[in-house]
Amino acid sequence: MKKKSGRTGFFAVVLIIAVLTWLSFCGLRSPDGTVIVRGAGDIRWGVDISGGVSVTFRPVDSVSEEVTTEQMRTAAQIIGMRFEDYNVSGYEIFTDTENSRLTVSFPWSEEDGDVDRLVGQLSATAHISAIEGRTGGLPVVATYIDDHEHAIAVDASGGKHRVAVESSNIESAQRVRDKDGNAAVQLNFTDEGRQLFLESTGRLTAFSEYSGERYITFCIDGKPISELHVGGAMSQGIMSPSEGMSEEDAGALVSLINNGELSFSLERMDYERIDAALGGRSVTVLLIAGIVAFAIICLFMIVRYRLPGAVGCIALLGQAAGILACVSGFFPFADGITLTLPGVAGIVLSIGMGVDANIITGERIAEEVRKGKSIEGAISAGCSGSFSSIFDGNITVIIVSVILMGVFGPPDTLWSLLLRPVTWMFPISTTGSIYAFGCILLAGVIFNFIMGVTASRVMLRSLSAFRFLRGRKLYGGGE
Amino acid sequence: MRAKSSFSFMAHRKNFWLLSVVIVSLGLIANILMGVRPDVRVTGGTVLRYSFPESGIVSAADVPVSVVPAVVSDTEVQNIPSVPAQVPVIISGADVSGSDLQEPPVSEGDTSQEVSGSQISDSDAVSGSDTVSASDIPGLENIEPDYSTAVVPAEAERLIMDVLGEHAVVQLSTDPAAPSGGENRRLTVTFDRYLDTGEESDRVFREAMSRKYPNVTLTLRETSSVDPVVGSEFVGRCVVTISLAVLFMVLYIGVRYRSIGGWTAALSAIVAILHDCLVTYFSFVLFRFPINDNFIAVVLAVIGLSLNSTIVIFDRVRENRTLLGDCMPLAKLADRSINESIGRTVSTDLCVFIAVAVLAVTAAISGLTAVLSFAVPLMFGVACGCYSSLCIACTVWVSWQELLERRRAGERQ
Repeated sequence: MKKKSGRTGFFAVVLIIAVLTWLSFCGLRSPDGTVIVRGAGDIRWGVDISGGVSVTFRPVDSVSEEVTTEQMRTAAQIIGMRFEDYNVSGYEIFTDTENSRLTVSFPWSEEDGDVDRLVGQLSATAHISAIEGRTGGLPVVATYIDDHEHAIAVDASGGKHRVAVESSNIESAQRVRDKDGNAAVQLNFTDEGRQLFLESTGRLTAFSEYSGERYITFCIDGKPISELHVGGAMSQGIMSPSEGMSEEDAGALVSLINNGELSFSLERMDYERIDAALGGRSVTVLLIAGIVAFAIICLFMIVRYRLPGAVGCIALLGQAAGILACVSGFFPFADGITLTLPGVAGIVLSIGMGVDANIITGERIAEEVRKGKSIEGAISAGCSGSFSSIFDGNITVIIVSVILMGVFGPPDTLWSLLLRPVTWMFPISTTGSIYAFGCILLAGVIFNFIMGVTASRVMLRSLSAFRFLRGRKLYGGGE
Repeated sequence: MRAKSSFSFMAHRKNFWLLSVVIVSLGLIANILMGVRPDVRVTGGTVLRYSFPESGIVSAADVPVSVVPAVVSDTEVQNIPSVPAQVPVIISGADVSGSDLQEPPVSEGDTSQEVSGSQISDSDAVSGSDTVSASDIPGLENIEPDYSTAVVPAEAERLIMDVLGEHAVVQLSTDPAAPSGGENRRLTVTFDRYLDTGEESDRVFREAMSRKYPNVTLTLRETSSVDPVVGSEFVGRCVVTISLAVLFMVLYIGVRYRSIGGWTAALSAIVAILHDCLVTYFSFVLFRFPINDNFIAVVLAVIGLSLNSTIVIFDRVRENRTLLGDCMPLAKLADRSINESIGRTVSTDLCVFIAVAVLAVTAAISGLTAVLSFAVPLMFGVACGCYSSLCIACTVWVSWQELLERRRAGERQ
């Protein structure tokens, strides 16, 4: 091993870790304030830790008598799925079936944007209807069945439109691009729905005197969203509003349709901003506890394991920074995890495993040094000897985290699919805080391998290349 | 530098097992006697919702009852007009109740004792509960009043425990739609279970709160309930998670450590882990912390750490076995391996213990009971994990192996 090139290893690693730590704690913002890289300040905390919003809904007056327990529970489930789709984690839904109330609470702060819009989307009945003709932007105010058993929608100006298809005829929705390349939503009908749509569009084409009347208007909860010009009989509906739709809106629309409609309409009856139950200072408290604990651990490691201990401290810092980065959404493939108390437990466990890896290595190296090996030999033997324990320990944590993510996570993740043979018996629901715990564990293990094993090894090897750092005492060899 | 301790774990194995059995039995007894406190998400419960003005001043326009407010200044009390005035007054909480809508809750004579200053000042404020008989509510005598309107949820929860004997979670929030001088603060009490004495609980709670926070005027807005959010499904998922985890661990350890007995090693490790889970669970029981998603997170963290320690020891055993060959008796091999690993095991567990202890201490100082409810059991779990890895896992494995050996030897004859 060339001594000269070996020396740079340490500094390279320390530099990388320093940059990672600084970025993951402080983030990076461009001069005008947009976030390039998210930092610890951007971490989304759970309601308990940083407060949030609580909204209570009840069925609209006219139907509150007839709503059943089953319908309330289904509504709660649908709202839960909507939360998932809007990537608001850390939510909770409480049902009061006796009084027919639904209370949702979720973490929210000023910077998260317009909460009213989100609440509106959450409580939307999401009844889709496609009606013949145009309403001129006016909403549908009533529907009834006429003498010929046709469903007729009446708009705000009194105009009557025949209803072509409704939610029950829609199988699913997906995002597509319309002929101008703009975002649009395609509706896939059920067999019956396709028939009905073909009929409607065929009728419009055949019997309308002016092509100006050949339109199908898509409405959500009575509000017209887009108008489709009908050129001939069609079996699929495309929703693309004339003023254009953003990708985000298209996605929201698709989720709304796919999650299903509520069997009754909700009205908002109460809204409040929840105090952080743990007091506003809880983040500060956790931070202080973390720093103090880290300092004590570092002190312990350096005293007991000398140089490998110091290297371990640097590796530990790197691991902590890596986990924090995953939580805050630093890495683009994950949007960040809402941090609740189980998440903090996950961080504690991951740091504990990190400490463990470094301690195992430190002990081994000390042992090898005492046995009389050379420094290089001791380091090599120490690192390779400890690897199997570290590996086994981390594999067991990976097993636990995958199971957690699969059992408690959203149904469309890889882990959930893996565990489907076991979880099929449970209804679809997510306990975000435990899913987050699993994610953090996995992140911890990955960074444990990167930092606790690889980075430590590189640092130790390169440090041992320095003449003045070769004393046996520095590696734990006793007198 | 480091004394080579050679404590014989194997020699004392029966003592360790006895200790563990005692601990588990004590825990079981505690569980039977004290019961466990499932989270309201699991059982559902009664909810009481209150509002109060942040400024401690009630203005006539905001109180949703036909209360007769009066004008007050620091020490003098004016006659109460029969017609509602528009001037703010502080009324002791016991008088303002959703159920007492019909009659004006105060009469001339009573008010003189009850009303406190319209400003929140420490010395002048009077605790306004002389008119309500305190004798029927136990635990009210030793309450120290807090003259601000900053209600501390943990304090309120403790109050509920003292006077009602019920576990509840108190949550504070703000109604952004209410004017800032009005009833803009909300207090929600969520009990751990359904109460059929909702009205009585409300009366007692408001009475106690009016003593503890004399300047907070609670108005009951509604009584409702929450259904169990997850109930048996959550418990089912926890069981599935732990079972799957145990299954995969047994498989993994069994395969990786087959040279030292595969299944026996795996199952001994599982025995140690289950032991840790039980102790962690008992700590929840002992301190009456609610069994919710914190619980499952803590249990899994303990499993992870304990298993890690156990694996390190087994790894050493495997290594020594290869190094020292088959001739060394198992007990001696195990003893030597454990002694070689003590430094590392104790160091790691100590580090994690210190980290969690720091968290627990800072939480206790700051009154963050929720953080405490997972830090304290975690401390128990880590300590127990260290003990079980050193004293239980290996000893069980050795005894089991020895038993198998004797059987095999017996069969040969």
